[in-house]
Amino acid sequence: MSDPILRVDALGVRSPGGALLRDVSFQLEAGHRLGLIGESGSGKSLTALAIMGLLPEGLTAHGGIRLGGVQVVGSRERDMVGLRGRVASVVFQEPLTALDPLMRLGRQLAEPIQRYRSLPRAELRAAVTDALLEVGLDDADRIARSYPHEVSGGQRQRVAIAMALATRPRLLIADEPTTALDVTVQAGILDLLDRVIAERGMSLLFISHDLAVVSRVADRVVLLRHGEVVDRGSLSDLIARPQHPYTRELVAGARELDSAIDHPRRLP
Amino acid sequence: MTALLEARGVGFAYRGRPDALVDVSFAVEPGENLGIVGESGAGKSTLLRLLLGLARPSSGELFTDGVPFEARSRSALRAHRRFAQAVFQDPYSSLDPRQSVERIIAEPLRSLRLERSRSAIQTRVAGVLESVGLPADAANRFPHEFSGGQRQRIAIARAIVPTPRLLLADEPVSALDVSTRVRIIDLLAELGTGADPLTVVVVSHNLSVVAALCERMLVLENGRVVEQGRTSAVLAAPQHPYTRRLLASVPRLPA
Repeated sequence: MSDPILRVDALGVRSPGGALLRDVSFQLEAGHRLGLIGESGSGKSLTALAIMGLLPEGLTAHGGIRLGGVQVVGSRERDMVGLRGRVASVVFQEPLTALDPLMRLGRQLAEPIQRYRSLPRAELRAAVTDALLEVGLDDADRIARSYPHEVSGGQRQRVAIAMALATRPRLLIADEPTTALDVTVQAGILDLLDRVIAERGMSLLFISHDLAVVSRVADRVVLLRHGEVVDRGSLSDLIARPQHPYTRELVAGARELDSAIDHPRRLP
Repeated sequence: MTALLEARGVGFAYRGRPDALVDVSFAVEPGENLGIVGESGAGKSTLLRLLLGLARPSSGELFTDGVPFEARSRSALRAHRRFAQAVFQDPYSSLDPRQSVERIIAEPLRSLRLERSRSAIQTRVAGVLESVGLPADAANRFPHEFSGGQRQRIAIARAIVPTPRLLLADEPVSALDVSTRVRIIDLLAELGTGADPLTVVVVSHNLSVVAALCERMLVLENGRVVEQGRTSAVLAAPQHPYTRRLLASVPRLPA
């Protein structure tokens, strides 16, 4: 059996004020999709940062994270540089955090493409166009010439996804990638992620507070609360037969909102 | 029956910009919550500004209780505040961190000069704290001591303390966790059933929130009302292509 692309083993994260993550373990096999679900303060984004070796100053990780077979916890920044992009890339909630406001989108996208393979100028331009087309930006030339503020939020997120994919990572970590977007735009981004992950045979770690959104792209989930794993399993099982009290509460809340669409409030 | 709130052909444009609202008409009957649904740039926030009296329509008219509402004078605005109060999305920024919960909630009573005596104010604050499901001792504490859901309860308490007839709720649960969302929606729904029944106008991008709370809804796209009607009818058989697209985009839980 092949090694999992990601194995998180009794991961803990501490701040000077106390433990933020405790004993978090899960693994993600190559080509699989896992949803990391939790409400605000559950530690789900912190887990993503720990995996990429990007914890903010003052926070320390202990335990094990093997990413593409390499131990992340305690490794030097120099060794992490080789993992980021090539093994795993991240897409964040707010695409503007990944984009330089003063640089045209085409040039920004060219950087990770070139990091992956050095190309002559004309081929690089073609590669940028292809990368934009792959993420559903049919107006690739105009987008490439635009600055981040000149395109819509959904288009920015597509460019951020193209940048994350440009280095051909085996794992994409998507941290609430649609939370800041309109619902019609969100639907398009979820379709896009679903398609490229399948086409490229990649693994996906999808982080979200929203069960319904996760159900669109992942089949297995890990449920975090207050920095600890409280439940895990197949999403359809968790939704159909929630066992843990917190899972039950979360599913009931999501179910109540979901069913309101079919049974809206009526006039007396 | 006189509509509680009515918009007739309301339009609005920010200076030098394309029209933010075009020919918006709707009526809110007492006891029938209205959901105004739209995505970013649809004109939701602009419409809310007009309904709050923070800006005046460039064309068309607003009516409250059948009377034209024009936010021209301080006294007209004060009367409007007595009539309509608001709850906003972010309970973190909408509450002054340096004031006690009692002072925060009592603010409309003072500014609208509804109550002067300290004991009467305390009584009314205690009453609304109970209505929103917060303990009486919350009065002496400060916003940072409360969770997001509790802070939204404080914001709702402040809005209902002057017994308005209309509550304008701008994305009232969008900043909250799912489990908290449901409880705040339940609370807003209960406000329509008490001794001083409130009618709620919810502005939201979230169709489920509107479905859970509002008997009627209207859909805004690019500043225009593209569809309105009973929520049950609109959601069961959306007529406009945009409404259909919006409904199809809502991520649903697997059955």
